Amino acid sequence: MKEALIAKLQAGRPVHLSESEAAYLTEALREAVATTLEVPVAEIADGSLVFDDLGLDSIDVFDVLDQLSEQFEVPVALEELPETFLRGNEGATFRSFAEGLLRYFREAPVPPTPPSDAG
Amino acid sequence: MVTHARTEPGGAVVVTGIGLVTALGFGVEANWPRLLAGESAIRGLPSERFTLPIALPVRLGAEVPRAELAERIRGAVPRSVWNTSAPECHVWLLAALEALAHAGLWPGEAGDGAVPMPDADRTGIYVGTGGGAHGFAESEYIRVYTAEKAVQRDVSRFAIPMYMASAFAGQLSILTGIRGPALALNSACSSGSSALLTALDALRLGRCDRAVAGGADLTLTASTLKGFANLGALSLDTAAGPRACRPFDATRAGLVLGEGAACLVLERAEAAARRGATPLAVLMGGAVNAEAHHLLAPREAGEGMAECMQAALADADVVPERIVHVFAHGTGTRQNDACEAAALARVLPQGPTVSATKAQLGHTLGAAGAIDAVLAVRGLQTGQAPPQAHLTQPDPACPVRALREPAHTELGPRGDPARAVLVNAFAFGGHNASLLLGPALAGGEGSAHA
Repeated sequence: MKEALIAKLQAGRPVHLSESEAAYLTEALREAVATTLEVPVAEIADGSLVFDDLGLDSIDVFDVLDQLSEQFEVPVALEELPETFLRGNEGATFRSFAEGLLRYFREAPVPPTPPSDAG
Repeated sequence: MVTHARTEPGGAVVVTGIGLVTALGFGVEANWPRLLAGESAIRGLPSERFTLPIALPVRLGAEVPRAELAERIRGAVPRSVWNTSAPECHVWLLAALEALAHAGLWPGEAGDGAVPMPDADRTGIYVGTGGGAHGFAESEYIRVYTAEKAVQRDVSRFAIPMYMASAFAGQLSILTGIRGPALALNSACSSGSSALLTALDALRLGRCDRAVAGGADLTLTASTLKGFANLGALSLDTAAGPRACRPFDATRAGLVLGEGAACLVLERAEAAARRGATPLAVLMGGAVNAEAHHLLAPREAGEGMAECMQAALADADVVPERIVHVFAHGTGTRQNDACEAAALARVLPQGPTVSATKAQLGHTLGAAGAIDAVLAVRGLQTGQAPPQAHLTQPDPACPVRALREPAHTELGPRGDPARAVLVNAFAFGGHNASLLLGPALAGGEGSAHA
C-alpha cells in the first residue's frame, strides 16, 4: 500500500486517492501529530481541537508536515494547505486537519504568481 | 581597554553550578578524573566522517560522539526543542542543564519534573560560540547536493532558526522559562570567556541577579578542519595520535580541533545567599581587549595578551603574586605558545603553575575559555588541576612552569581566600580575554578580594 501510494503522490497533484489510501494518509497524519506532541496515538481523537485541546503550535505544524514529507517522499507546501492548519484557527479539529490534507493532495497545485513589475 | 563595570561593595559574583561536555565525556565528573590522569581525547577520525569532496591532510580531533549526543539530548529535552535545534545547540543545552541542576535550578537526570525557575525575569543567558551552527549549515549544503531522495534535496524548514547562533540562548530560554537578557556572543576562540565577562558586567550592573553563561562549539567539520589546515595552524602529526597537540613543547606542531561546551551559573552573592545556594567559587573579574594588529597573529612579544591579563588583575583588584595557577590558552602552535609564555613571564614573574588543557581536549574554539573556567572552579574546590599533558621537551622559548602532577598544584583548599586562578583565551582577530576566579569563602558568600 505505502509504496503504491508514494508512487501516486510523487506523480504529482491532483492525486486520485482511494478510500483506503485516504484512510492510510489520515492515520499517518495522526501518528505524526502524536510523535510531535510525544503522546500516545490514542490521544489524538477525530474531534480533538488540535490547537486548544492537544496544544499543537505553529512550530509543531511544521514538524508534522516534515514527517509526512519524509515518510511519503513528497514536499507538503504549507502555503497551499487550508487555513485549518494555521494557528489562528482555534476551532480546527484533527478531522478538519485530515480533510485539509486530503484536499491538498486531491487538488491541483496553485500556479506560482508571476513576479510583479510594480515597485 | 577594560570594559567591565567594577564590583559594587557586597556585589561579588559567585559560581553556584557548573556543567561540561567534552570529547572525554558528558558531565563534569565524567571529565575531571580523566583530565587529572592526563588522558587525551584526541584520536583519528574515520574518513566517512567528512563528506565534503575536499582533500584533508589530517583527520585528527577530539570529537563529541554524535550518536551519544543525540541520545542524551532526546532524553533531556522535549522533541519540540531537540527537533528544532542543531547539534551545536544540543551540546550547549546539555552543559547548561547540568549547571542549572548543579545549582539546584533544574531537576537533573533524577528529577521528577520541572522546577519553576526562581526570578526568571532577573536571570540572563550569555553563550559564546565561535562557529555557531556551522556544522549544521555544512550538512544542509551536503544534503542538498547529495541526498538520495528528491524531497530531501532542499533546505530544512527549520534551517534559519537552527542556523542562527542566537538560538543557543533562545532555546535555553524557551526550555527553562528564563526571561532576562538572552544573548549569543562571538569573539572567535575567546567567545566563551567573553560571554562570562559580559554576564559578569550584567550582574555587577544589576541588570540581572543570575546568569547562565558559557560557550559551545562543534568544530569537526570538513571545512573547519581544512580551513585551519590551510592556514598552517593545524598539527599534521597524525603519527602522534593522542599526543598530536603539545603546548609549550619544543616539538609542538600545531593545534588539534576539539569539541565541547561548558556552562557556569553565576549569581550575585546576595541572590545566591537568599535562596540558600552554596557558592563553589568567585568570578573575581576579568578583561577583554583587542590587539589592533593582525587577523591571525598576536603581537610578537605577547604585549596584547599581557595587557589583557594586567587589566584582568586590575579589574579584580588582585596582585599578581596571588595567582597560583594559570589555565593557559596554550594551543600548541609555535607562535601562540611563545607569545603567551612571554606575556605570562612579564605579568606573573613569580611563575605560577601552568596547564593547557587543549593537549587533552583539543581546541574547542568558542567553548575553550568556558571549559577552562569550569575546570578552574573544580580546581579551586579540590586543590587540583589537570597536568600539562604531552610536554616532554620544554621549549626554552616558552619558559612556563608547567604543572607536572595534578597533586602539586598550589590552588589550595576551599575557603583559602589567598589564591586565584587565571584563565586565558585568545582568538583570531586579536580578541583576548582573561578571567580570574577565586575560592568561595567558607561562610558561603562574598568575594575573595585582597
